[in-house]
Amino acid sequence: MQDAPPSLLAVDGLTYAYGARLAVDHIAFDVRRGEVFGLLGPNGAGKTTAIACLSGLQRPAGGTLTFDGAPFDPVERPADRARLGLVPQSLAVYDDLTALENLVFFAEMLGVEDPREAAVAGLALAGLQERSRERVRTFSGGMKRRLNLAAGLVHRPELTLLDEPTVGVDPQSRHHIFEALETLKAKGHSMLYTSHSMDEVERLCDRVAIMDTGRLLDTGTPAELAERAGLPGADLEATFLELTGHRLRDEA
Amino acid sequence: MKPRGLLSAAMCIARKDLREFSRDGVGLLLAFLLPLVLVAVFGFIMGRVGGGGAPMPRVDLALLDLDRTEQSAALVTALLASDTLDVVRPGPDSAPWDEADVRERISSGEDPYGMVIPQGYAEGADLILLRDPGRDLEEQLVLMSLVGALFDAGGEDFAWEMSKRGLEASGLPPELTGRIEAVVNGFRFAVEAMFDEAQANGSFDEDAAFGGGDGADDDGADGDGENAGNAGDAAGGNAVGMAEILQLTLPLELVDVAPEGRDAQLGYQVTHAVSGMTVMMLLFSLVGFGRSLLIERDKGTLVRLLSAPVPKSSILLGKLLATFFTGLLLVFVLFGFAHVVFDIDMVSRFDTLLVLTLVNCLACTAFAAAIAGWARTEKQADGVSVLLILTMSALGGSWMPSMMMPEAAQAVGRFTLTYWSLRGYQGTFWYGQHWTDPEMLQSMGVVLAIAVVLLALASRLFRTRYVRT
Repeated sequence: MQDAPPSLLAVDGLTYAYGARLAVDHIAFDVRRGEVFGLLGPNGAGKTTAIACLSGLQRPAGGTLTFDGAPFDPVERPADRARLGLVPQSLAVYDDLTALENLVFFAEMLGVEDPREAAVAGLALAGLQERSRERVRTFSGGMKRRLNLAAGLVHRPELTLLDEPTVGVDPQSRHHIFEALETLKAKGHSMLYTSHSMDEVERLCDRVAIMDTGRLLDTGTPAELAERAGLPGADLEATFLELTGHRLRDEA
Repeated sequence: MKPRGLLSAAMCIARKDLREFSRDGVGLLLAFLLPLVLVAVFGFIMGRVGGGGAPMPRVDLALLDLDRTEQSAALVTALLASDTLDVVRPGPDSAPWDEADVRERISSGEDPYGMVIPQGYAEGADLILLRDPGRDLEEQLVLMSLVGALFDAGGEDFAWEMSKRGLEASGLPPELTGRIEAVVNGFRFAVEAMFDEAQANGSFDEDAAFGGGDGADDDGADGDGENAGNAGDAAGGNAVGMAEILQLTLPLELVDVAPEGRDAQLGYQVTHAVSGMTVMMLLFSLVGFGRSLLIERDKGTLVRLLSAPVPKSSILLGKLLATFFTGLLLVFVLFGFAHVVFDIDMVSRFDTLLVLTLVNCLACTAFAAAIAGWARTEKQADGVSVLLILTMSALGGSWMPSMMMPEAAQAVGRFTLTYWSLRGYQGTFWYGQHWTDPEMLQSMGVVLAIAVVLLALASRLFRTRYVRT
């Protein structure tokens, strides 16, 4: 049996509360080096809050984070944040700047030594070389989504946190984004990926964690999860519904 | 990869903000054009109202002459010659007016004032001045013009008539007034005889008589920066102002005092209007710019910035730098415009203007950041900024000089940023003060203190409402 790759990010007992409500309730998992790890859950499960804690946007109420075996504090230590890439759910790019200017700016903010070179590489990743000098305002939703992805990867982070990176895109852009992510995976890039699309997760992720109401229900490969849910051979969607139930989750 | 420090990251954000700002052509044009237009319009309007070589405003006066005598015609001619009255009379093709028509014109708002010269005016009947009681602002202008016209039309007779009426008004019984009139008339005829004699032998200097020469004493200038001006010119359109008349009839010397180097044609109201509008527009423009923090949050880009390996305070600092720079640019564009159009001296006072503008821009930037920090939505930011800026502008004296406001309003106005900013600019432009003068240091000190408080507030709001770790 092949040894599992070493853990890159280890999360243990991570907790975050909005007032009295626990949005993330003592969750524990690890993302291994070179792995794509899927974080699944219905609306309001706590996925985005967990990512906010991991990326230093929110200070966890409890738990420990370890990165490559060392304590990790992205809230307090900018150098720790530099090891991560964030692709947020929103289209976090500047409409009045060109695609190139956007990537140069983010590369500068992320401390890249040659921001222009990194931006040009990012444009290639997003398939936007031809439109590099056009303002983002003129881009389609899919183009913006690709640029959003490139902006999170422009500094070649050790681990990239992707929060539903394909929401609302056309099939062509989705295909392009997936190709880009599979290329990165093939090169050994580590990613933590959240999505509502079970197909995407099954296609891309090596292991998956399923969350609901702030708690982690199970972690493993899709086949392991199905087995433990009593649905051997079932697809991930069936396993997910078995674990989280059929109740509608309308986020406020 | 090398994480950036506070200032380096802040400069990076400031550059990005300014680049974004410059991309919105229409927004950019409006950001500079609107203040320019307002400064031009207010400067022009206040220039007319407040002098500075510009003509006085004019008031409409509906005029009806029922007396139709030589004396009433002389009064009509004098009123028509007034610089401050637009005399309105029925046109050649329209029906003649009666007193009811004049009353109707005033009650309907066509004219604020009316005058009826009644039958018997030449024999001493009183003039009838009709006024709209709500239009008391123009009253002084009308009365000053009327007195001038009566002097012009009636000459010495009018002066004696005024004296007689004054005696009667003081409570003297009619028989005593009659006796005094006889004595005064005797004196008057004696004086007239002396004038006639002086004119006949050539010793009477007509140029030195009422209204014929300079009212002010030209000897008032000295090395301490006091300049005697020409009070006759300073009175605007009137040949002789009330102060000049008083000077000629009372033991009074009238001396114009102005700082050395002030343009004699520069009006107080012009410098006030330019300074007032500049401070108000600076606040409006910078609040608009400061909203970029809200936009970043709503758009989601703030999440990227907060997760970047830079000090989180560099985000706020970068926004402040971009806002501050925009403010500096705006102020110097506006004052440059005022320098060219209104002759407000910017060059010789550049050091003071620079120091003052640095302090004011800092405070306005802090104000904008505090608003952006407090507001949860753009709508909230718009609403509260309009409310605060208009209130501060009104009470602080951006629209009209504080001295023209009720005392309570003046007292409240001193608690506004606008008041102290404006005080500094007026100190520079009107009183010629240097930034090291105690009054200027006081104004700048207050503005700086406000800036520090607002910056601390903005910083706290940024940490609690935007960073939220």
